[in-house]
Amino acid sequence: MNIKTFFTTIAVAVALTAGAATAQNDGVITVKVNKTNKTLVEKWIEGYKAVNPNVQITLVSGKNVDADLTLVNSHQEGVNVTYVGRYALLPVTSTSNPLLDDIQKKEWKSKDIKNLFFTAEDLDEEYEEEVEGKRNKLKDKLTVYSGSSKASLSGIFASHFGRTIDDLRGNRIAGDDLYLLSAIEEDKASVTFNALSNLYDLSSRTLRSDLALLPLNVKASQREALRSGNLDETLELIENEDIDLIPVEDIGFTYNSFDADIDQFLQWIIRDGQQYNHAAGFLHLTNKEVESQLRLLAQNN
Amino acid sequence: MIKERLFLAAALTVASTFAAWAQTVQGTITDAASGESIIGATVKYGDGKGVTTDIDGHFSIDVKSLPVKLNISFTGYKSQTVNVYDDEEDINVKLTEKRSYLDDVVVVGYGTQSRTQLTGSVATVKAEVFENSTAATLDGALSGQVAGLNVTASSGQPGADSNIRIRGGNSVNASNEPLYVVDGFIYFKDANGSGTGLGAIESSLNPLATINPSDIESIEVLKDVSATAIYGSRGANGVILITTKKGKLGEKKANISYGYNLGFSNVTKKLDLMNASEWAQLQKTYFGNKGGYTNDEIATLGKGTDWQDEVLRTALQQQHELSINGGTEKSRYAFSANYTDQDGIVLNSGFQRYNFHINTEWELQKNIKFGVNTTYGRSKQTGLTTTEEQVFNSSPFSAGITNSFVYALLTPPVVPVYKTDGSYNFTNPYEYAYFAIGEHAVNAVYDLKESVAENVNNYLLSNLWATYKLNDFTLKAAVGLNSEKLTQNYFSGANTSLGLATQGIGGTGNRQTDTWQQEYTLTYNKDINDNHHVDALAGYTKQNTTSTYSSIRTNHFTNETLKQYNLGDGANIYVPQTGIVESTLNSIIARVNYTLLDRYNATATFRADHSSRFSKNHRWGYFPSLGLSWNVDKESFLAGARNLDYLKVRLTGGVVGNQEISDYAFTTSYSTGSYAGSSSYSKQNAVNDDLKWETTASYNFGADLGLYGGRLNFVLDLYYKKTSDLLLDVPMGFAAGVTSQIQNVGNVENKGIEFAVNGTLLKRRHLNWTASANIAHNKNKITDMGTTDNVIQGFDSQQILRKGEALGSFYGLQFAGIVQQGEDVSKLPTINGATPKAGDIKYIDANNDNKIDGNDRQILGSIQPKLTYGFSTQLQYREFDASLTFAGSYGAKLYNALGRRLELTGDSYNVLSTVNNSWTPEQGGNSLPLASNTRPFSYIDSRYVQSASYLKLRNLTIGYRPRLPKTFPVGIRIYATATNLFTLTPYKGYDPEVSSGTDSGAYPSARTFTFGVTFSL
Repeated sequence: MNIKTFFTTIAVAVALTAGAATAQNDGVITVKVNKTNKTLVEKWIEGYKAVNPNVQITLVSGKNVDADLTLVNSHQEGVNVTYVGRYALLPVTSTSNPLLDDIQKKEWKSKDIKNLFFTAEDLDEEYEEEVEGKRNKLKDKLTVYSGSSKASLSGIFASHFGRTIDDLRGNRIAGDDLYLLSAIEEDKASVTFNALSNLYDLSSRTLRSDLALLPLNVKASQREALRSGNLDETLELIENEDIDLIPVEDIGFTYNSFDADIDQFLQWIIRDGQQYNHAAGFLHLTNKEVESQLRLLAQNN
Repeated sequence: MIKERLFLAAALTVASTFAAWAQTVQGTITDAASGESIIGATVKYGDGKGVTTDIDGHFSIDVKSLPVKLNISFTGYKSQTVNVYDDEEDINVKLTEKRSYLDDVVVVGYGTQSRTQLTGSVATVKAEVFENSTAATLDGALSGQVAGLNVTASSGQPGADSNIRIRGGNSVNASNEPLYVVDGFIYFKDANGSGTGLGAIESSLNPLATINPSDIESIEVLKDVSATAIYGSRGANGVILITTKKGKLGEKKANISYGYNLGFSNVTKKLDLMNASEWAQLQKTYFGNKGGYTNDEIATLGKGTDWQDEVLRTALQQQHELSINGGTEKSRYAFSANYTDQDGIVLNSGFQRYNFHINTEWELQKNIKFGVNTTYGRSKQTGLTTTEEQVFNSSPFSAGITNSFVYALLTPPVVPVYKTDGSYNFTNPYEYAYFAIGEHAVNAVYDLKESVAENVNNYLLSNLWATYKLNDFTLKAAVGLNSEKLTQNYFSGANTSLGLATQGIGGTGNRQTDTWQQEYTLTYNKDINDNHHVDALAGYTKQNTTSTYSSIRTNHFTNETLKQYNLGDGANIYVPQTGIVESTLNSIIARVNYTLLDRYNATATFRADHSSRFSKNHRWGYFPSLGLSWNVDKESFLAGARNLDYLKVRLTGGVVGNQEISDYAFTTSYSTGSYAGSSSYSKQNAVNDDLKWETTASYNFGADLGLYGGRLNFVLDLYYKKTSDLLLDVPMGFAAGVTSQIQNVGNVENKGIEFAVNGTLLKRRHLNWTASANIAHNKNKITDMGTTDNVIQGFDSQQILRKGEALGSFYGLQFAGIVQQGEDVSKLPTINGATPKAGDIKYIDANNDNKIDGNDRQILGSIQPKLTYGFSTQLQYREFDASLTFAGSYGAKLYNALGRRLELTGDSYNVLSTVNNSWTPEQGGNSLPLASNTRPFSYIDSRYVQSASYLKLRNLTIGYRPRLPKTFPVGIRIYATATNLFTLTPYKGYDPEVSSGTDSGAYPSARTFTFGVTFSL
């Protein structure tokens, strides 16, 4: 092989790869999804293929990859989004946290969570006086981990408590929010928050054994459901009751182009695919949302 | 074959090397507040060297494997650690600025510097101050903001200038105004540039009116010599650096805002003048009752005409403001347009301006940037005519009738404005001295409404610059032009005070002033081993100014319809005034900043100036300075100091100069005129081959202290300045052929102390409350006057230059009361050879020679305040905001010439109602003598040198930003502002702020209420 042949080979290989990446194959729907939502989307695809065996749906990932559908985890302005499910966020720490007893002794109110997760100087004055002493000491010892990527749920968590992502204390990670749980495993004296799909073992339907939820100051019956560590009880609780301390947000698909294949797939998720949401740790759409999303899809046609 | 194997081996080696760096992490670093890319931020992990972000804030770093912990840092920002677990997305890290005061980057002459490295005394005023103020010019908003910076309005006339003094005045006849530098362009109100030779127009346009306050990003006030020495011959009075807003690279493509405000003004204080009944009674009792009033008639006269009310009004004002700014990765732009229309509270006065400003910047190539800053606009000031030029009938000006507004105050309240048929009344039987011919007298209301006194300035300030960066060196070239065309229009018709004697007079004049500036600098910026930082600058600048002027006046009009636009109708033509002046300043500049261990800073500055304003042998001036500072908080012995944010001490010394005198003052010059129908020349100036710079040696010790994470900041400065070789207008003998000449004579010293504090009182999520306060004391003293001591100045001889006293000292007799009935007068000093009698005024016999004369005059205080102070506070609570600014001055004196005029009784003019308390045999009295139309002396006395201390609520603003749905495309803020809401002062005239120190009927100040709305997209 001479040098000319070598470079020719490389050039041909690059051209073929690029061509493959950009080529549009009719009948194939590409879906871009992050790790946190991947299980749910896989379940939908599996369920949809069971009734539409001829359809081809492929999951793609990567920063420069375009897809027909992209899963987003918050409400978007100025783009077409079809909302297909909901998720909930809970504050969490590691069971190996040396301060676990102190954390679990408390019933965390909204102000406590704000105090722990966000910059302290912005708290109401009377609350600062109230939390002097032990609670502030706990705050000083705990590191907060949050995400910095565009897909991170940190912004949702912050806005639920009336703050912005820039107000979150502590350290940031880059990467999927799933890795926030790795971060608190490495740095034991820390807390974070995450979606139920990452917090619970989807097979055993129980809270991951290395994690402990921060006990929330909620009604006794609600507290029991959360303490049970059972994913299904938790999902049912959050779906049926409005709990101020638990952020709940929609997930949805944005699309580059809209055609009949995509329309059918999305309609199926909204009508029939909801049955898979719980299995993947997600909440169902509300009935109102189902109606409104179907109506919007009809308008797209 | 061998070749192929060798190549494969090499390829494998390269591949294995890349395999060792398995992944590339990419991302962008931005400013959390502005969203702008941060260039030069360091991204590293472990012990690796790391990478820096490029011009787009982007980085790319190779790592062996994930996860990895990246540390991101940049000067002035809080460092951040990011654990990277996957590379599916680019990392977007937002860095938050450190809130420490010392981390601010400060604009200094010809560059910027971190405050932590600064050695000089530099105060910063940020954009919010100008945004909260509705003042049309920046000086109105600066008052009370900076310790040691004293702003005194020349009058309340809209668009009028202010005196700004930084650490007192240094000079007598050269300018005491600071130097302004607008985006690098040196902008100075030329001593020659204020008029067109026309005269008769009382007010001059504020040179700062060319800058729209809303365009200002920040103002840096350079106070000590380490900061000002880079401006050498022009730095003695301090330097004010104005930086205009630049486009910002943000989430939005463009930021668009439009604001409108509407307001009204009225006079802050009215003088209490006699009404018709009181005045008629005064006339009947003391001055022959020219009106022939009986007691019954006097009782029915009542208030009569309140001439003060007739010439004052509630004035409206409005302002439109459009601003568009934005940027891309390679370019930035900021554009603004402003229209201001402000009526004055005196009839027929006001100020209008339109102003366009654009600030652009392009990155042409990786290392080359190019920018253009341009301001274009037009200001028009409509004001009062002044009688200063009128010399007939022993001069109404020297008799205290300085303008038509004052004439209104003096017009007797028994004289109506209008006749019964609604036409103007030109009959005033009491006027026989100045403004009446036969039975035809002047009417002040007509005078104000129909006279023209306009200043119109069309201006262009444009600066082009380019930089080329080569490693640690940056080359910069800048060329700028400031072109101003001032037009003055003046017309007083035959029925007005100025036109009465000449059957109308009018004129027009133009002055075109072009200043070109070239600037070439080379900077070197290097960090060495993390222990040394060097920042060096060398350069050459040149500024040359050409100013041409012409004016013409005519009188005796047959038709006044077109006023100054038909000067050809005037039968008599005055000698036209034309001229040209040119000046050039060539300068070499150099500065080295060195920082060791982030703790010890030194700044050495040198400037050599060659000015055309001085004689050939003295044109070069050399101005060195040295500044040292020590960041004490970085020392290990303070490492454990809890709550200490920073502590810095500063020590500076050096020499700066002053060249702001008129051009050609060093040489012989002649002025032209007309004599017996032919042209004539008269000597205007005599040669002075020794004329040179006025130099100020200055020393400063300062300390900066920050506590509680920057929530509480203190700045303390002590300084001493000695100005030598004063540029003084020295009286000359007959042999010189001129009455005076500018010479380098005498010394002045200023010493003082300044203290400023600012703090965040409350910072909560929905509540932010900040406050700042400053106070300064300056003591000014003439320490040498050469052989020309005791120079008396002013039209009432009211001021004196005397060794040991402050500049602007008042000089007059000390009032000692009124001689009472039965008082033993035998021991009283005589006045004009006579022993005072009951009802006469008494003065202190200062030299104890038992007679009162000019030798008994004493220093009665000066225009120099002992203390100046300011306080401001800003509060934000949820959607509401409020700001409050107080400014004050203590210890200065002001000559109330208007008050003196209005307490001089006679048979022509109205007086203050205080004259009702004049001494009479029946009621006594100890402030005013028995009513009389003569004064024992022309000298002023201490009653009219009054305290000019004041505390003013300069600005009160309350704003509200309604919370709108996120989908609503427009942000809205509505606000209300009150300016000059109240003034606490013992001063008896209209307003204690009169920059000249003599209140001879200055345009009264206004209280303004403004309501506005701003829309932002």
